[in-house]
Amino acid sequence: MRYLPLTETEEKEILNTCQVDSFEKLIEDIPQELILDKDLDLPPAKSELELENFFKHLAEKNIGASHTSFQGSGIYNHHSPRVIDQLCNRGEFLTAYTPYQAELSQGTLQSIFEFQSMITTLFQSEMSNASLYDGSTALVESVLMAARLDKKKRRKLLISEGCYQQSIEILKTYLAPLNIEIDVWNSEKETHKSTSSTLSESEIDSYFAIVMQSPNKWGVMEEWKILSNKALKADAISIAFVPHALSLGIFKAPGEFEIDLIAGEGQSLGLPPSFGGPLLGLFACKKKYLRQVPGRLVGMTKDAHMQDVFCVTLSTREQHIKRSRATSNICSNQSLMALRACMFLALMGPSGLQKLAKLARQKAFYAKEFFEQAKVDSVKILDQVFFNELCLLFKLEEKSKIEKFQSLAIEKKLIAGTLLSAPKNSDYDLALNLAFSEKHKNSHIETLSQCFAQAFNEEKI
Amino acid sequence: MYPLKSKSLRDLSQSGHTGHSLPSLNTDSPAPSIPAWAKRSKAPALPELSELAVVRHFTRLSTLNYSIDGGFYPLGSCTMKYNPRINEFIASNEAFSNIHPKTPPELSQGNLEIMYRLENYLCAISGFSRVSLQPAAGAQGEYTGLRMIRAYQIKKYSTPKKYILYPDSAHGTNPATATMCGYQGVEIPSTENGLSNIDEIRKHLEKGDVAAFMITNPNTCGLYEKNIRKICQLAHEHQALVYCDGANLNALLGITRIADAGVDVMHFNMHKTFTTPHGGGGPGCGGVGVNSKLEPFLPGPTIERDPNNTDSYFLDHDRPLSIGKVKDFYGHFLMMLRAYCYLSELGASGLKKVSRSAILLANYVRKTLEGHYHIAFDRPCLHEVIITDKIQQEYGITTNHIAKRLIDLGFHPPTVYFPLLVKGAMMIEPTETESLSTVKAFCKVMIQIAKEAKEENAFEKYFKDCPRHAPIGKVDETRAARNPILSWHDL
Amino acid sequence: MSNIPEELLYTKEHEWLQKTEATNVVRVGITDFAQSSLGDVTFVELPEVGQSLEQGSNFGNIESVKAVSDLYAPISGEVTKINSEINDNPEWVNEDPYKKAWLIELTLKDSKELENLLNAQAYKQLAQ
Repeated sequence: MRYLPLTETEEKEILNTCQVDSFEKLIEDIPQELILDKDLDLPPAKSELELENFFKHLAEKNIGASHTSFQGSGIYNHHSPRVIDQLCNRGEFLTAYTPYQAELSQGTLQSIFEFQSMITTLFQSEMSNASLYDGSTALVESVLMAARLDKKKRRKLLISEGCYQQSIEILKTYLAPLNIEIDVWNSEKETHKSTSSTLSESEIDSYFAIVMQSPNKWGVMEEWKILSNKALKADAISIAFVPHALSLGIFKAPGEFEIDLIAGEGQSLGLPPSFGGPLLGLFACKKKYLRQVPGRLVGMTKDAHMQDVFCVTLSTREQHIKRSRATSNICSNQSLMALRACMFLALMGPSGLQKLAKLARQKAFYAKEFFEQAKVDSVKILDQVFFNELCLLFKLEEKSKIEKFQSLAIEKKLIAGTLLSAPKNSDYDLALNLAFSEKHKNSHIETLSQCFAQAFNEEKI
Repeated sequence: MYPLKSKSLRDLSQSGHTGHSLPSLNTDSPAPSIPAWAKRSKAPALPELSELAVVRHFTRLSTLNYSIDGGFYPLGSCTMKYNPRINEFIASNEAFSNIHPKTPPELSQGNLEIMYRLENYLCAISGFSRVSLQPAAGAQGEYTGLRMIRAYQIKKYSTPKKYILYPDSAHGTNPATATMCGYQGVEIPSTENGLSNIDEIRKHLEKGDVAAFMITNPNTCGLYEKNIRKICQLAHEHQALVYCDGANLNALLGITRIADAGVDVMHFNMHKTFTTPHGGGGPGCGGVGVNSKLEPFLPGPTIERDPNNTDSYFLDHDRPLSIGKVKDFYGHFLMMLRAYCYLSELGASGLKKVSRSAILLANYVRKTLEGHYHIAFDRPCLHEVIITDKIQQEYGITTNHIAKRLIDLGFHPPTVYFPLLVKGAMMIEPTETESLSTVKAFCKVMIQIAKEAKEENAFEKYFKDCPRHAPIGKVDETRAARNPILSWHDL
Repeated sequence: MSNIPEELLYTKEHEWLQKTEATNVVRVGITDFAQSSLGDVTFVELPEVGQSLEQGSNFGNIESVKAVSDLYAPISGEVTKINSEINDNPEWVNEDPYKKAWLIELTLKDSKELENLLNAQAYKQLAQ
């Protein structure tokens, strides 16, 4: 077998060296009654040819691969330069171990340092870590960090309604054993934004942290300034959640508003949709919080020859040293994904990032025009500041027509977005989030809008 | 070959250079301007580079990395085995990778089937009845496992209980995870044989209020916990569950199944046992297996097969007792795909040979280094062996010196100073993908170092300021920690 | 051989205690043995001025590159002063653990507690 070079002759040689007459003598510590007496229930081995055929067959079952998806909600299908795959596939990056031995890992370490630098630039913060598992985990870690930082030891968190349902669910899972309550900051009825009008100021200083997401789940851009002001008033930690890192190519970064902690999802920076994983959690913050930062950190230093070199640093925060008092149990970062993002940002540069974001936004506006032309009165097309996601709002009784829209779209090999709930205060019940990308053909967008028109106007005649 | 000093992307930046190729913006119907309150005033101040500059930069950086592709990693507890390239080829197929996680299930049956079948394979390997593939890495798998235990305790006994027990040889994630789950961790001293101390465990269980015992098996000393069945029985008698850290699963494949010993839940490290690449520190992939007691609490959604149509798979979100989600979407799907490809290639017969070869090679190292180094535990080891610097300390040479000297002689050092309970530990795990000749070459160099340590003036001659021949000299970690420079903005 | 000044008192956890000129105020730091076990110190986490400590309780920690060590109060009392310069100069702990690298000053509430501490002779046995 190609990954198992040990021959029978060599096995005998080893047994000889070990002065035992059988392999079983080496595993005598395993109780006899636990030793398996038959082979594992796995299919027989396959040759490479057989493997390729096997997976070709499986790939064909992914009918959606030949469809055009207009889904967003945290995962996006943006352009990523092909050279990134070529570089990341280098065995020196792919098969390298965690960079604990700095002398042997400068490739990984320098690229992570550069990643940290560029994420700091993107967020306009003061520092960034080496990445976390995904956006929601980064949000969880930010909240846990804020709880640790809170001198008043408060146990209530305020989170804006515009945060993804999934992220809130994950947050709830992690907070459950820790006696932390979550209050929701409802979105304003018309704008779908988190504003003063929906926040009870009387309770505001009961929160240790306030979380706001932008773009929010309805695709609407929120105002970081409002987050910053509210947190200041509450003497709480402000946490910004940026689920679509590419948006910062043209939209203001939270760091500009003195936001304390920033969590984000970096999948749009050179990673494919990947059926949801692996992703790239981003974390940035003010430098004064350094000692409470979760996850890996790479720092610059000197070596014995006074060269500039890099190493993992401040590991004393991490599990392998602090053990039960570690800031988190996290062991890994998403190193290879961070490397992809680093290459992506390096190739795009300021002009590319800006242009790519503008291209995606332009497609969304193109779509908006067509959807408005369909003149469907029972569906409201949200008209707020957005990046690349349109939001169609409707009442429960229209749901079957929306579903009709979706099935008409599938017949045309288009996937029409994702369903979510409308804000609590809204006159509408449900929303359909449609994400647009520079990769979308105009003809597909037009067809999509036609399916929409057809689903709603069919009965009108 | 390349200049030693690698410039940074920022140093290489040249105004007006770009590495992107994008279509033009539509000037006929431009999008309306972004209002001032939202508009970023300037494009992010990133470096400006041509594609060639970026390619050169990262190509040069890559040559500064040690990697499995480049050389042997005898890192105990890490299972640095070869990362098969067929896995990479399969995972690069856009029919698998370009799929959005919210794609309607009838359009993504291939991906759902992969997750379903991988779960089945892992159940077959471990003996557990279900496996969740959602956790992103071992640490998150551990967290998920402990949370399910907590949910079980609350459901059955109306209290999460207060304590989690673990041996002093445990990996650092164990106590950290216990704290994250709201428990108080209790460290149990191991026996002098490096095994869990059943009397100490009994003592603490009898005090009551224990939710679980966390065991690593084989443990971090590379030994099989012989008393595991008894420990499980004891724990269950005291209403506690048993969690197993599956980091060392590479020793047991096809030989024994952890669930058969009575363990209730275990996490897998796909990036260790099942060859998904380490990538310089991640992404990992940490499934968690459970028996029927904990099944109701699994994170959702689970992947199910339609009972009426065995060719159809779906996601089950209707899990009222689930602990909830621990990760976005379904987990690290593209890493699952790689693990599934590996297991599909090996089959039952290949997998059995994996552990057999791993154990044989580790024992070869043990027997060959015996006499030259102090072997921490005087018995056959499983897939890894621990040696110490006890003999070399008499000459003033430490594990750290030996590790750095190894670099000069062309090898990556083994895991050092872990587990904490073995002073001056060096943990060596050859893995089954290495040939006997490679392992012999490693042993030869280790023996050479042992001989060097005995020489007159050994420190000056061989060990001072190592590594001397690596492109990078000894890294000043103190300076890095005292004066943190974490980005270009700090310079 | 580690340095163990005769005039100081010591704890089993390798802290030293010095009586100051002010009545009932003592100074606390870590010993030469402790700093050499830790290696290069990178950060010291100190309590707040005004905090009350019990004898034996954890009042902070010292970090080196590879390890973290808890700090334990040698006596009960209230923190009156902390060494605010220590984190700009963590190397003082390694270079001058008994003078420049004092960590906190405490009011001594119960002088009987001093009997629980070790004198230099007794500490010498520990710090081998």
